[in-house]
Amino acid sequence: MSDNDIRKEFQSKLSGFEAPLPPDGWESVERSLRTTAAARRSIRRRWYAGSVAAVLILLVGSILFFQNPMESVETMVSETASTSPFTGSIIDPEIEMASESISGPVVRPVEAGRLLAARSSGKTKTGKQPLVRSSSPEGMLAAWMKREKLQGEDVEKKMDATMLQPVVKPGEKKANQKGEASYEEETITVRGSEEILLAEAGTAERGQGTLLLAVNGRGGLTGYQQTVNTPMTLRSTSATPENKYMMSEANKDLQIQSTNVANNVSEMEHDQPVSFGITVSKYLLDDLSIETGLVYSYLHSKTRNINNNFKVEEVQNLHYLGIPLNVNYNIFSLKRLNVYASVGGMIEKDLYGEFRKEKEGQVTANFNTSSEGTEEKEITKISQRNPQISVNAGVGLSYPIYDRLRVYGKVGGAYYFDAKNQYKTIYSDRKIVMDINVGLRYEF
Amino acid sequence: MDDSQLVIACKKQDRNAQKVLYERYAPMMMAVCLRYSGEEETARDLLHDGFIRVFTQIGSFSGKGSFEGWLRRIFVNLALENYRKEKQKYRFMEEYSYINADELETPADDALDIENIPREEVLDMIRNLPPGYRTVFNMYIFEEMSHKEIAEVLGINEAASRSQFFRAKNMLRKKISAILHNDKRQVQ
Repeated sequence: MSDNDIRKEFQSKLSGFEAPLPPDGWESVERSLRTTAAARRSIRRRWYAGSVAAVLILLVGSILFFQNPMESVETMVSETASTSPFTGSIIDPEIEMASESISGPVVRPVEAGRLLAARSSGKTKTGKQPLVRSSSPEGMLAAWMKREKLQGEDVEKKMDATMLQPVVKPGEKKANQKGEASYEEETITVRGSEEILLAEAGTAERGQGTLLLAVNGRGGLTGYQQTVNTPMTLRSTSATPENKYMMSEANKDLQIQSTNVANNVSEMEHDQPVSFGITVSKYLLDDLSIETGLVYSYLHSKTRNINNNFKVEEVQNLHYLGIPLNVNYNIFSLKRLNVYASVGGMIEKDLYGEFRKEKEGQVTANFNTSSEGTEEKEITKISQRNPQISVNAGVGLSYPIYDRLRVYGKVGGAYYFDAKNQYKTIYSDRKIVMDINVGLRYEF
Repeated sequence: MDDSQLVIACKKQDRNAQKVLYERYAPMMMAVCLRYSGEEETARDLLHDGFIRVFTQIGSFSGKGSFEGWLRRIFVNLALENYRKEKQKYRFMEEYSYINADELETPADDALDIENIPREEVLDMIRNLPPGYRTVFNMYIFEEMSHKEIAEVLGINEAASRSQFFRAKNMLRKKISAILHNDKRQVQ
């Protein structure tokens, strides 16, 4: 009996055979389907919500940042001008001394419109209004609304500044005189408007509109290395048509090499990119800041094509200047250590580039020439046609080292979009580059 | 409601249509699951998971081929995935050894005569084969796969597939012979 006969026999025997079902079969399937559908809906909703939130954050952040970038500086100047005469009268020297004895930015110049409470420490609250933590969603919303309200009232309040007589309540004065190491919210009443504002200690340290200046250095965590039999060059095949002609001329040697692929060894290497930059950040909300600046990057690449007859080496150096735009969010703080996440993008353009090529070797008998060695060197200045755009994300830590100076480090990765440029770089060949970014940040 | 209408309704996640489809095809698919699994509990799990997969992936059914064939492939694939997961357990029990010379001797009566054996018993015979033999036997006989294809799917070599099929046949032959022998005795 052949295997085919066995096959036919078994197939015909069990064809259309139906087995009894488990009693709760459909109910169980239906339950699972409901759960699956709910889970899918939930994932979809979260995805939509996340996307909308990200878009909104970027949109609002960009509008606020670009709409009036100098406003905060001007405001600060006018604040100082209008409030400096009041500083002495608002805050009792004793209070000031008591406050100053506590570390951190203690007393800020107080303006009529924006009343900042002196920072103290501890947990006692003298304010009459419920405390809303600025790091909570309610707190962020409240801070946002407060800021908007204050901005609207700034002009009016400044006009009346000379007429307003802020009063510090006696109870608070007493508390401060005692020098209690207590965390306080002070209620300052502005005579005339009867407006009571609360400021949470700590928010003054990182209030909205605070500017941060940072210098940083960035290094790629990995390079790129490739070894193949076929000849390679740093000039990309995805170049524009006019470059293709140039390529064919320039790579004649490589074409000669390719006739003898079996003996050919080609290596391409892109070093880790190294960058330095200076950036400025602005807090939009208590924990959310937007960052931009200038970043210089150095890219170094080389190829080596060796076979029995030829040795061709190419070295390429490119110097890029980029403008990053990142949104940083402070996820949480462990004592003085801040942990933050960052997403954003960068546009880069090369400023200067150099392409060096060295050829040495013997031309084969096929070309009817002598077998003497030849050596050629060629150095050309190069530039990439298109700007390089990338998106990045990362997680970082920052820690205060002196006063308002913080050291920070970030680990992340960037995805580089294909810029269709003539010269290959680590950006074009690796696409995703993991990097580490360290720097110093100063808060104004 | 014919299959194509049923499929369209199921693509819209119509719960009633899903129930109709389940009631129409579940008994047949349960037989497939039982053929691939030794334990009834495993077969039930396969049936359940298979229908979840059917209803979540029904959008990918183009409607060109046979719906029953598409459905069956889902269940067979699921059974094979399950086998691959469980394979480590079976590894030491059976069957990746090659055939001994004495095993290669074909019995005088090499037929697998199942004509007079009830379908349930035939199914039980297959289910009672060791997992590796059973899987190869099912793939070769019912899915009409070659030993090369079976070897690729199960990650074994072709010779191992042949040897397992050979042993499966021998085991079935003995069982068939025992059943027929018992039946004759009972008649006498």
